[in-house]
Amino acid sequence: MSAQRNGSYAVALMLSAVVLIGGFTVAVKPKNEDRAELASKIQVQQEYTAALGAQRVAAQSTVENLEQLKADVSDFNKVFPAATNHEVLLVELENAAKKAGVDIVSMAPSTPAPLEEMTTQLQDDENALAELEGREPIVIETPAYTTMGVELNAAGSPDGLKKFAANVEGMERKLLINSSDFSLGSGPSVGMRLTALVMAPLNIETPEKE
Amino acid sequence: MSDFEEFLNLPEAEGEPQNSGRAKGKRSKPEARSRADQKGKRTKPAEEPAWASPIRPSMNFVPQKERDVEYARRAKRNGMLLVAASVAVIAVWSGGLGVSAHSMKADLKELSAAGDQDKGYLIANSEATTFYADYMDQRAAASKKFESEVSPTKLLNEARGAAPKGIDIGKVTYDDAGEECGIGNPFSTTLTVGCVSISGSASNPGTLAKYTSSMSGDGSVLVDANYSEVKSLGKNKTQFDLKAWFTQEAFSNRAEGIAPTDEERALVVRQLVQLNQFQTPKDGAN
Repeated sequence: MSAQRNGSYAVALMLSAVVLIGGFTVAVKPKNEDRAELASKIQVQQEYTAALGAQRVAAQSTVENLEQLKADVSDFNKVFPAATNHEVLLVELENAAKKAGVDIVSMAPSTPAPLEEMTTQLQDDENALAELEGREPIVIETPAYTTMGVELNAAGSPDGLKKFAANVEGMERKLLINSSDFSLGSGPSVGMRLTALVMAPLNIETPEKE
Repeated sequence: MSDFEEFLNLPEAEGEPQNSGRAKGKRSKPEARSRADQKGKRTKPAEEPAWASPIRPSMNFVPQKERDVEYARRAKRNGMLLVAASVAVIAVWSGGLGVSAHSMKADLKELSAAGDQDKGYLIANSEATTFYADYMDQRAAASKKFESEVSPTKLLNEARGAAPKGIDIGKVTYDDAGEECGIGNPFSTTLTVGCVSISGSASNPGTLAKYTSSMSGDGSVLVDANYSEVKSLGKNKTQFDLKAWFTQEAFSNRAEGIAPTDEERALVVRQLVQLNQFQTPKDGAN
């Protein structure tokens, strides 16, 4: 009978082991795995949602300040106007000379260059970011632009010529100064080679607030 | 009543076999009783319930057969309890995980819904974002053109400002496509970015050395000047040509007003990447 009794305990232990192992395998392990997977998904989703939230805040700021943005773009278009006619440019330079008390002796504008695409810092930033994140970089549309060159000579007093150069640097329309040649001896003059950057206009009528 | 039952002091229940006793699992609840009652339990067995005493008789005094039956019954009961406990452990464990998973699914759904809302907003306002990005792009592009622009007035001021008394500056020429100043000073630690040509005349040749030596040191715009030609034109006039390097201090800095900040650029790039991902959804998040 002692064997029978021990047998009962053995059977009970085996049954318990079967219940524990089987129950763990069938009922606990899959749920635990599901739970771990869910935890991982939640973490990914949390990061994704946080990033989206930050971008939404930025987008909201853009939308809420759209009128200001349009005004900024309008100002920017004055600094780099889309106009490719020389007349306006020459008039602006004449005004700068007049304010400095010097005379423009000659001006030679060149025809606008073919459209180019700028290599922008945004694309460089994206390339670096994509490399960091191990993905293919997206192609950021680069603004098209053209350039218009002007070579000019002005004559006047040395101080007048210096003031004229300062006026050119301070013009609302920003002209890239490629070269300058001041002659301050007898018959003071200055020769300058300038480049006007003509940017494709941004449409400021759209978009409207959603 | 058998001798054994009499020994055990078992009550004789009606309709129950007299030798069944505890072996069949029937047990009466012990009742509270006084000391006097406990003392008299042996003399009045018929009035006492089973196992009136908290001290059970040792099984050693029970005949082997009865003992085995009792042990077998206990073994079965304990075994069943063990199995039942195992089932309960698994059930509680599994149930707990189920509740936890359910709660996590709800959290995930909530997060997903919040993400969808933000996504919807970003898509709905993508035109504004693109417009802002185009503006940033133009600013970044234009500023790049101006970042190494040299200010002619700075060069002129420096060339004239460094000249000691007796030196007249005749020409100051700079061209971004022009020639360089040669190798300059190979031991110089100053970062130079371009070359300017200066010519003029000196009333005293001794001032020429003074002029070039003034073009050095920290914060100087013009450095490492070298005469390319010095020609005497008479007793009190020496004509000279020199080339000098200039540092970043000569830049016009007109790019600064145009260039977007690092934060603005980073934000715009992130937004463009995000919009691009919305247009071409991939596996993964959401």
